[in-house]
Amino acid sequence: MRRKAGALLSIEIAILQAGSALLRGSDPEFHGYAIAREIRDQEGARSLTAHGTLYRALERLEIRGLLASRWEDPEIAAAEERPRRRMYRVTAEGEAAVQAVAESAKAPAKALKRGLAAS
Amino acid sequence: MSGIAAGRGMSGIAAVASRAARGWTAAYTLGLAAQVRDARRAEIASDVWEHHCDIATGGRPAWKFVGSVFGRIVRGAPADLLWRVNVEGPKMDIKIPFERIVGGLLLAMVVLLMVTTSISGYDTAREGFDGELRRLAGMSNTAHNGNAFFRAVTGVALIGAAAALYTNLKGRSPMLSAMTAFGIAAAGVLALIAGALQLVFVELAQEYVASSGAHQEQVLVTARGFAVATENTVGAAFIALVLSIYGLAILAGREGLVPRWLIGIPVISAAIIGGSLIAQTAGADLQWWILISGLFMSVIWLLVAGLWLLFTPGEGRAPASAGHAAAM
Repeated sequence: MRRKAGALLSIEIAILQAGSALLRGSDPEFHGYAIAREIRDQEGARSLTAHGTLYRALERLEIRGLLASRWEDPEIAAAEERPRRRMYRVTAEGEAAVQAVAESAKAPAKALKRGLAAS
Repeated sequence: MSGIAAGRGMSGIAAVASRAARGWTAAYTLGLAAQVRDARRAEIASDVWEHHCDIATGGRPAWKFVGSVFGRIVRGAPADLLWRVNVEGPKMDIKIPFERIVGGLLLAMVVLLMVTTSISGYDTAREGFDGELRRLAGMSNTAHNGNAFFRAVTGVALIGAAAALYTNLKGRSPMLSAMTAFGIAAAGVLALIAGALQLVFVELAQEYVASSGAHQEQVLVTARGFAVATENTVGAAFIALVLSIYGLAILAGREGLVPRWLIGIPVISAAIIGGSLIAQTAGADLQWWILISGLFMSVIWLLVAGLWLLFTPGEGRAPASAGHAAAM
Protein backbone atom coordinates (compact mmCIF):
# COMPACT_ATOMS: atom_id res chain seq x y z
CA MET A 1 0.00 0.00 0.00
CA ARG A 2 1.37 3.41 -1.00
CA ARG A 3 1.28 6.14 1.62
CA LYS A 4 -0.23 9.58 0.93
CA ALA A 5 2.27 12.25 -0.12
CA GLY A 6 3.48 14.15 2.93
CA ALA A 7 2.05 11.64 5.40
CA LEU A 8 4.40 10.32 8.07
CA LEU A 9 4.90 6.62 8.79
CA SER A 10 4.47 5.41 12.37
CA ILE A 11 8.24 4.89 12.77
CA GLU A 12 8.85 8.46 11.56
CA ILE A 13 6.29 9.85 14.03
CA ALA A 14 7.88 7.77 16.80
CA ILE A 15 11.34 9.15 15.95
CA LEU A 16 10.11 12.76 15.92
CA GLN A 17 8.18 12.35 19.17
CA ALA A 18 11.15 10.66 20.88
CA GLY A 19 13.51 13.30 19.45
CA SER A 20 11.22 16.10 20.71
CA ALA A 21 11.11 14.49 24.15
CA LEU A 22 14.92 14.42 24.18
CA LEU A 23 14.99 18.03 22.94
CA ARG A 24 12.85 19.12 25.91
CA GLY A 25 15.17 17.17 28.23
CA SER A 26 18.91 17.52 28.54
CA ASP A 27 19.87 16.09 25.11
CA PRO A 28 18.98 18.37 22.22
CA GLU A 29 20.95 16.03 19.95
CA PHE A 30 20.76 12.28 19.79
CA HIS A 31 22.50 9.45 17.95
CA GLY A 32 20.80 6.48 16.29
CA TYR A 33 20.99 4.07 19.19
CA ALA A 34 19.75 6.70 21.68
CA ILE A 35 16.61 7.28 19.63
CA ALA A 36 16.02 3.52 19.25
CA ARG A 37 16.23 3.13 23.04
CA GLU A 38 13.96 6.15 23.62
CA ILE A 39 11.32 4.74 21.25
CA ARG A 40 11.49 1.35 22.98
CA ASP A 41 11.06 2.97 26.40
CA GLN A 42 8.24 5.28 25.29
CA GLU A 43 6.30 2.49 23.61
CA GLY A 44 7.09 -0.09 26.29
CA ALA A 45 8.34 -2.41 23.54
CA ARG A 46 10.54 -5.41 24.23
CA SER A 47 12.90 -4.95 21.30
CA LEU A 48 14.77 -2.08 19.72
CA THR A 49 13.90 -0.80 16.25
CA ALA A 50 15.85 -2.73 13.62
CA HIS A 51 18.91 -1.06 12.13
CA GLY A 52 17.56 -0.99 8.58
CA THR A 53 14.17 0.42 9.59
CA LEU A 54 15.66 3.04 11.90
CA TYR A 55 18.37 4.47 9.66
CA ARG A 56 16.17 4.44 6.57
CA ALA A 57 13.53 6.43 8.47
CA LEU A 58 16.15 8.86 9.84
CA GLU A 59 17.39 9.46 6.30
CA ARG A 60 13.86 10.11 4.99
CA LEU A 61 13.19 12.58 7.81
CA GLU A 62 16.43 14.39 7.12
CA ILE A 63 15.64 14.65 3.40
CA ARG A 64 12.24 16.16 4.31
CA GLY A 65 13.93 18.70 6.58
CA LEU A 66 12.29 17.39 9.76
CA LEU A 67 15.67 16.31 11.17
CA ALA A 68 19.18 17.68 10.74
CA SER A 69 22.40 15.78 11.39
CA ARG A 70 26.14 16.29 11.77
CA TRP A 71 29.09 13.99 12.40
CA GLU A 72 30.67 14.73 15.75
CA ASP A 73 34.25 15.95 16.11
CA PRO A 74 36.55 12.93 15.57
CA GLU A 75 38.75 14.07 18.45
CA ILE A 76 35.89 13.64 20.93
CA ALA A 77 35.29 10.08 19.70
CA ALA A 78 39.02 9.32 19.82
CA ALA A 79 39.33 10.72 23.35
CA GLU A 80 36.45 8.50 24.50
CA GLU A 81 37.84 5.51 22.53
CA ARG A 82 34.63 4.78 20.67
CA PRO A 83 33.35 5.05 17.09
CA ARG A 84 32.25 8.46 15.91
CA ARG A 85 28.59 9.35 16.36
CA ARG A 86 26.23 10.92 13.89
CA MET A 87 24.16 13.37 15.90
CA TYR A 88 20.59 14.24 14.93
CA ARG A 89 18.26 16.98 16.14
CA VAL A 90 14.62 17.73 15.43
CA THR A 91 14.26 20.90 13.34
CA ALA A 92 11.55 23.54 13.76
CA GLU A 93 9.66 21.87 10.88
CA GLY A 94 10.01 18.55 12.71
CA GLU A 95 8.57 20.10 15.88
CA ALA A 96 5.65 21.49 13.86
CA ALA A 97 5.04 18.06 12.36
CA VAL A 98 4.96 16.49 15.85
CA GLN A 99 2.44 19.16 16.93
CA ALA A 100 0.30 18.50 13.87
CA VAL A 101 0.28 14.76 14.59
CA ALA A 102 -0.70 15.41 18.22
CA GLU A 103 -3.53 17.74 17.11
CA SER A 104 -4.89 15.28 14.57
CA ALA A 105 -4.83 12.53 17.21
CA LYS A 106 -6.92 14.73 19.53
CA ALA A 107 -9.45 15.70 16.84
CA PRO A 108 -11.38 12.37 16.67
CA ALA A 109 -11.59 12.26 20.47
CA LYS A 110 -13.05 15.81 20.54
CA ALA A 111 -15.56 14.91 17.79
CA LEU A 112 -16.60 11.84 19.75
CA LYS A 113 -17.12 13.91 22.91
CA ARG A 114 -19.22 16.44 20.95
CA GLY A 115 -21.30 13.64 19.49
CA LEU A 116 -21.90 12.07 22.90
CA ALA A 117 -22.88 15.46 24.38
CA ALA A 118 -25.38 16.11 21.56
CA SER A 119 -27.10 12.71 21.90
CA MET B 1 34.73 8.14 9.40
CA SER B 2 35.77 4.72 10.63
CA GLY B 3 37.61 5.82 13.80
CA ILE B 4 37.79 3.26 16.61
CA ALA B 5 36.89 -0.32 15.70
CA ALA B 6 33.36 -1.05 16.88
CA GLY B 7 34.15 -4.52 18.21
CA ARG B 8 37.03 -3.38 20.43
CA GLY B 9 36.76 -4.36 24.09
CA MET B 10 33.87 -6.76 23.56
CA SER B 11 33.75 -10.33 24.88
CA GLY B 12 33.76 -13.35 22.50
CA ILE B 13 30.10 -13.71 21.56
CA ALA B 14 29.42 -9.96 21.74
CA ALA B 15 32.28 -9.41 19.29
CA VAL B 16 30.75 -12.04 16.97
CA ALA B 17 27.40 -10.20 17.00
CA SER B 18 29.12 -6.88 16.40
CA ARG B 19 31.07 -8.39 13.52
CA ALA B 20 27.87 -9.86 12.07
CA ALA B 21 26.14 -6.46 12.10
CA ARG B 22 29.13 -4.76 10.51
CA GLY B 23 29.61 -7.66 8.05
CA TRP B 24 26.00 -7.44 6.89
CA THR B 25 26.33 -3.67 6.50
CA ALA B 26 29.57 -4.13 4.54
CA ALA B 27 27.77 -6.62 2.26
CA TYR B 28 24.76 -4.47 1.34
CA THR B 29 26.83 -1.30 0.94
CA LEU B 30 29.40 -3.04 -1.29
CA GLY B 31 30.06 -1.13 -4.49
CA LEU B 32 28.36 2.11 -3.37
CA ALA B 33 29.99 5.53 -3.61
CA ALA B 34 32.62 5.84 -0.83
CA GLN B 35 30.85 8.69 0.97
CA VAL B 36 27.47 6.93 1.20
CA ARG B 37 29.05 3.56 1.98
CA ASP B 38 31.35 4.83 4.74
CA ALA B 39 28.60 6.94 6.35
CA ARG B 40 26.23 3.97 6.64
CA ARG B 41 28.99 1.64 7.89
CA ALA B 42 30.17 4.18 10.49
CA GLU B 43 26.63 4.78 11.69
CA ILE B 44 25.93 1.08 12.23
CA ALA B 45 29.33 0.59 13.91
CA SER B 46 28.49 3.43 16.30
CA ASP B 47 25.00 2.04 16.96
CA VAL B 48 26.36 -1.43 17.82
CA TRP B 49 29.01 0.08 20.08
CA GLU B 50 26.47 2.22 21.99
CA HIS B 51 24.14 -0.76 22.22
CA HIS B 52 26.87 -2.88 23.76
CA CYS B 53 27.87 -0.13 26.21
CA ASP B 54 24.21 0.24 27.25
CA ILE B 55 23.86 -3.50 27.93
CA ALA B 56 27.22 -3.71 29.72
CA THR B 57 26.52 -0.62 31.86
CA GLY B 58 23.16 -2.05 32.88
CA GLY B 59 24.92 -5.23 34.03
CA ARG B 60 22.87 -7.36 31.63
CA PRO B 61 24.35 -10.57 30.17
CA ALA B 62 26.17 -10.56 26.82
CA TRP B 63 23.69 -13.00 25.27
CA LYS B 64 20.97 -10.33 25.54
CA PHE B 65 23.12 -8.05 23.42
CA VAL B 66 23.78 -10.87 20.94
CA GLY B 67 20.08 -11.77 20.62
CA SER B 68 19.07 -8.14 20.23
CA VAL B 69 21.72 -7.41 17.58
CA PHE B 70 20.86 -10.48 15.51
CA GLY B 71 17.17 -9.62 15.82
CA ARG B 72 17.81 -6.08 14.61
CA ILE B 73 19.89 -7.34 11.67
CA VAL B 74 17.27 -9.84 10.53
CA ARG B 75 14.23 -7.58 11.03
CA GLY B 76 15.96 -4.69 9.31
CA ALA B 77 17.36 -6.65 6.35
CA PRO B 78 14.42 -5.92 3.97
CA ALA B 79 14.67 -2.18 4.77
CA ASP B 80 18.46 -2.33 4.23
CA LEU B 81 17.98 -3.90 0.79
CA LEU B 82 15.27 -1.39 -0.14
CA TRP B 83 17.56 1.40 0.97
CA ARG B 84 20.29 0.02 -1.29
CA VAL B 85 17.90 -0.12 -4.25
CA ASN B 86 16.78 3.46 -3.55
CA VAL B 87 20.34 4.74 -3.30
CA GLU B 88 21.32 3.29 -6.66
CA GLY B 89 17.97 3.44 -8.42
CA PRO B 90 17.52 1.52 -11.67
CA LYS B 91 21.26 1.40 -12.45
CA MET B 92 21.91 -0.97 -9.51
CA ASP B 93 24.60 -3.35 -10.67
CA ILE B 94 25.75 -6.17 -8.43
CA LYS B 95 28.41 -8.00 -10.40
CA ILE B 96 28.02 -11.75 -10.07
CA PRO B 97 30.22 -13.62 -12.57
CA PHE B 98 28.17 -15.08 -15.42
CA GLU B 99 29.53 -18.58 -14.71
CA ARG B 100 28.36 -18.44 -11.09
CA ILE B 101 24.81 -17.58 -12.15
CA VAL B 102 24.72 -20.48 -14.62
CA GLY B 103 26.33 -22.80 -12.03
CA GLY B 104 23.70 -21.87 -9.44
CA LEU B 105 20.94 -22.46 -11.98
CA LEU B 106 22.33 -25.90 -12.87
CA LEU B 107 22.39 -26.87 -9.17
CA ALA B 108 18.83 -25.58 -8.74
CA MET B 109 17.87 -27.76 -11.72
CA VAL B 110 19.02 -30.85 -9.80
CA VAL B 111 16.43 -30.22 -7.10
CA LEU B 112 13.71 -29.26 -9.59
CA LEU B 113 14.37 -32.37 -11.67
CA MET B 114 14.15 -34.63 -8.60
CA VAL B 115 10.84 -33.09 -7.49
CA THR B 116 9.31 -33.10 -10.97
CA THR B 117 9.99 -36.76 -11.59
CA SER B 118 8.91 -37.87 -8.14
CA ILE B 119 5.17 -38.16 -8.98
CA SER B 120 5.14 -41.64 -10.33
CA GLY B 121 5.00 -45.25 -9.33
CA TYR B 122 1.21 -45.59 -9.02
CA ASP B 123 0.19 -49.22 -9.12
CA THR B 124 -2.45 -48.99 -11.85
CA ALA B 125 -2.84 -52.80 -12.20
CA ARG B 126 -6.40 -53.97 -11.53
CA GLU B 127 -5.60 -55.88 -8.32
CA GLY B 128 -3.33 -53.24 -6.77
CA PHE B 129 -5.21 -50.05 -7.66
CA ASP B 130 -7.83 -50.35 -4.92
CA GLY B 131 -5.09 -50.25 -2.26
CA GLU B 132 -3.44 -47.31 -4.02
CA LEU B 133 -6.68 -45.28 -3.93
CA ARG B 134 -7.32 -46.13 -0.27
CA ARG B 135 -3.76 -45.11 0.64
CA LEU B 136 -4.18 -41.72 -1.08
CA ALA B 137 -7.64 -41.16 0.44
CA GLY B 138 -6.20 -41.86 3.89
CA MET B 139 -3.69 -39.02 3.66
CA SER B 140 -4.61 -35.71 5.31
CA ASN B 141 -5.82 -32.69 3.30
CA THR B 142 -2.86 -30.73 4.67
CA ALA B 143 -0.49 -33.25 3.10
CA HIS B 144 -2.30 -33.07 -0.25
CA ASN B 145 -2.45 -29.27 -0.27
CA GLY B 146 1.21 -28.99 0.77
CA ASN B 147 2.16 -31.41 -1.97
CA ALA B 148 0.16 -29.46 -4.59
CA PHE B 149 1.71 -26.16 -3.48
CA PHE B 150 5.22 -27.66 -3.62
CA ARG B 151 4.60 -28.92 -7.15
CA ALA B 152 3.18 -25.59 -8.30
CA VAL B 153 6.27 -23.83 -6.95
CA THR B 154 8.51 -26.36 -8.74
CA GLY B 155 6.71 -25.81 -12.07
CA VAL B 156 6.99 -22.04 -11.79
CA ALA B 157 10.65 -22.34 -10.70
CA LEU B 158 11.44 -24.47 -13.77
CA ILE B 159 9.91 -21.82 -16.03
CA GLY B 160 11.93 -19.16 -14.17
CA ALA B 161 15.12 -21.24 -14.50
CA ALA B 162 14.47 -21.59 -18.25
CA ALA B 163 14.14 -17.80 -18.63
CA ALA B 164 17.26 -17.17 -16.53
CA LEU B 165 19.35 -19.73 -18.43
CA TYR B 166 18.22 -18.32 -21.79
CA THR B 167 19.02 -14.77 -20.70
CA ASN B 168 22.51 -15.78 -19.57
CA LEU B 169 23.40 -18.17 -22.38
CA LYS B 170 21.84 -16.58 -25.48
CA GLY B 171 25.00 -14.56 -26.04
CA ARG B 172 26.99 -17.79 -26.37
CA SER B 173 24.67 -19.81 -28.56
CA PRO B 174 21.21 -18.38 -29.33
CA MET B 175 19.86 -21.53 -31.00
CA LEU B 176 21.04 -24.07 -28.41
CA SER B 177 20.09 -21.87 -25.46
CA ALA B 178 16.61 -21.25 -26.92
CA MET B 179 16.06 -25.01 -27.47
CA THR B 180 17.31 -25.83 -23.98
CA ALA B 181 15.21 -23.11 -22.36
CA PHE B 182 12.16 -24.28 -24.29
CA GLY B 183 12.67 -27.85 -23.00
CA ILE B 184 12.98 -26.69 -19.39
CA ALA B 185 9.97 -24.35 -19.68
CA ALA B 186 7.95 -27.19 -21.25
CA ALA B 187 8.95 -29.42 -18.32
CA GLY B 188 7.75 -26.65 -15.97
CA VAL B 189 4.36 -26.46 -17.69
CA LEU B 190 4.08 -30.26 -17.66
CA ALA B 191 4.97 -30.30 -13.96
CA LEU B 192 2.12 -27.84 -13.30
CA ILE B 193 -0.28 -30.01 -15.33
CA ALA B 194 0.89 -33.17 -13.52
CA GLY B 195 0.32 -31.44 -10.17
CA ALA B 196 -3.24 -30.48 -11.19
CA LEU B 197 -3.95 -33.99 -12.48
CA GLN B 198 -2.70 -35.44 -9.24
CA LEU B 199 -5.06 -33.18 -7.26
CA VAL B 200 -8.03 -34.51 -9.27
CA PHE B 201 -6.72 -38.03 -8.79
CA VAL B 202 -6.68 -37.53 -5.01
CA GLU B 203 -10.28 -36.21 -5.09
CA LEU B 204 -11.30 -39.30 -7.04
CA ALA B 205 -9.53 -41.51 -4.51
CA GLN B 206 -11.56 -39.91 -1.71
CA GLU B 207 -14.78 -40.35 -3.71
CA TYR B 208 -13.88 -43.99 -4.40
CA VAL B 209 -13.53 -44.77 -0.70
CA ALA B 210 -16.80 -42.94 0.13
CA SER B 211 -18.87 -44.70 -2.58
CA SER B 212 -19.95 -48.27 -3.25
CA GLY B 213 -21.35 -50.57 -5.92
CA ALA B 214 -21.49 -49.58 -9.59
CA HIS B 215 -20.58 -45.95 -8.87
CA GLN B 216 -17.42 -47.07 -7.09
CA GLU B 217 -16.45 -49.13 -10.12
CA GLN B 218 -16.98 -46.08 -12.40
CA VAL B 219 -14.84 -43.91 -10.13
CA LEU B 220 -12.12 -46.57 -10.18
CA VAL B 221 -12.00 -46.54 -13.98
CA THR B 222 -11.88 -42.71 -14.11
CA ALA B 223 -9.22 -42.58 -11.38
CA ARG B 224 -7.10 -45.09 -13.27
CA GLY B 225 -7.33 -42.83 -16.31
CA PHE B 226 -6.09 -39.88 -14.26
CA ALA B 227 -3.29 -41.94 -12.72
CA VAL B 228 -2.08 -43.00 -16.16
CA ALA B 229 -2.37 -39.40 -17.45
CA THR B 230 -0.36 -38.13 -14.45
CA GLU B 231 2.35 -40.75 -15.03
CA ASN B 232 2.57 -39.95 -18.72
CA THR B 233 2.75 -36.20 -18.06
CA VAL B 234 5.57 -36.76 -15.60
CA GLY B 235 7.24 -39.01 -18.17
CA ALA B 236 7.03 -36.25 -20.79
CA ALA B 237 8.45 -33.71 -18.30
CA PHE B 238 11.25 -36.17 -17.56
CA ILE B 239 12.12 -36.51 -21.26
CA ALA B 240 12.00 -32.72 -21.77
CA LEU B 241 14.32 -32.19 -18.82
CA VAL B 242 16.80 -34.86 -19.82
CA LEU B 243 16.94 -33.51 -23.40
CA SER B 244 17.48 -30.02 -21.98
CA ILE B 245 20.37 -31.30 -19.89
CA TYR B 246 21.94 -32.78 -23.03
CA GLY B 247 21.49 -29.41 -24.73
CA LEU B 248 23.12 -27.64 -21.79
CA ALA B 249 25.99 -30.16 -21.80
CA ILE B 250 26.66 -29.59 -25.51
CA LEU B 251 26.48 -25.81 -25.07
CA ALA B 252 28.72 -25.76 -21.98
CA GLY B 253 31.25 -28.13 -23.57
CA ARG B 254 31.34 -26.32 -26.91
CA GLU B 255 31.75 -22.90 -25.29
CA GLY B 256 34.43 -24.16 -22.89
CA LEU B 257 32.40 -23.26 -19.80
CA VAL B 258 33.25 -26.65 -18.26
CA PRO B 259 36.07 -29.12 -19.09
CA ARG B 260 35.32 -30.91 -22.35
CA TRP B 261 35.74 -34.39 -20.84
CA LEU B 262 32.56 -33.76 -18.83
CA ILE B 263 30.54 -34.27 -22.02
CA GLY B 264 31.25 -38.01 -21.54
CA ILE B 265 28.74 -38.18 -18.69
CA PRO B 266 25.66 -37.08 -20.69
CA VAL B 267 26.85 -39.21 -23.62
CA ILE B 268 26.76 -42.30 -21.36
CA SER B 269 23.38 -41.15 -20.00
CA ALA B 270 21.99 -40.77 -23.54
CA ALA B 271 23.33 -44.21 -24.49
CA ILE B 272 21.67 -45.83 -21.46
CA ILE B 273 18.27 -44.11 -21.86
CA GLY B 274 18.24 -44.32 -25.66
CA GLY B 275 19.35 -47.96 -25.64
CA SER B 276 16.71 -49.02 -23.15
CA LEU B 277 13.94 -47.21 -25.07
CA ILE B 278 15.04 -48.87 -28.34
CA ALA B 279 15.12 -52.25 -26.57
CA GLN B 280 11.57 -51.65 -25.33
CA THR B 281 10.38 -50.80 -28.84
CA ALA B 282 11.90 -54.07 -30.00
CA GLY B 283 9.73 -55.90 -27.46
CA ALA B 284 12.13 -56.24 -24.53
CA ASP B 285 10.90 -55.61 -20.97
CA LEU B 286 11.84 -52.09 -19.90
CA GLN B 287 13.83 -52.24 -16.70
CA TRP B 288 13.12 -49.09 -14.65
CA TRP B 289 16.48 -49.18 -12.91
CA ILE B 290 18.19 -48.76 -16.29
CA LEU B 291 16.18 -45.59 -17.00
CA ILE B 292 16.86 -44.34 -13.48
CA SER B 293 20.61 -44.91 -13.90
CA GLY B 294 20.46 -42.88 -17.16
CA LEU B 295 18.70 -40.07 -15.33
CA PHE B 296 21.22 -40.37 -12.50
CA MET B 297 24.08 -39.80 -14.96
CA SER B 298 22.47 -36.59 -16.24
CA VAL B 299 21.98 -35.42 -12.63
CA ILE B 300 25.69 -36.13 -12.03
CA TRP B 301 26.54 -33.88 -14.98
CA LEU B 302 24.33 -31.09 -13.59
CA LEU B 303 26.00 -31.42 -10.19
CA VAL B 304 29.60 -31.51 -11.45
CA ALA B 305 29.07 -28.76 -14.04
CA GLY B 306 27.13 -26.61 -11.55
CA LEU B 307 29.81 -26.91 -8.86
CA TRP B 308 32.58 -26.35 -11.42
CA LEU B 309 31.01 -23.10 -12.67
CA LEU B 310 30.16 -21.95 -9.16
CA PHE B 311 33.63 -22.41 -7.70
CA THR B 312 35.90 -21.69 -10.68
CA PRO B 313 34.28 -18.70 -12.35
CA GLY B 314 36.07 -16.83 -15.11
CA GLU B 315 39.04 -19.15 -15.63
CA GLY B 316 39.93 -17.95 -19.08
CA ARG B 317 36.69 -18.98 -20.71
CA ALA B 318 35.88 -17.00 -23.80
CA PRO B 319 32.86 -17.64 -26.00
CA ALA B 320 33.68 -19.89 -28.95
CA SER B 321 32.23 -17.24 -31.22
CA ALA B 322 34.68 -14.66 -29.80
CA GLY B 323 37.54 -17.09 -30.45
CA HIS B 324 36.46 -17.51 -34.06
CA ALA B 325 36.20 -13.77 -34.51
CA ALA B 326 39.71 -13.30 -33.12
CA ALA B 327 41.06 -16.01 -35.43
CA MET B 328 39.62 -14.20 -38.41
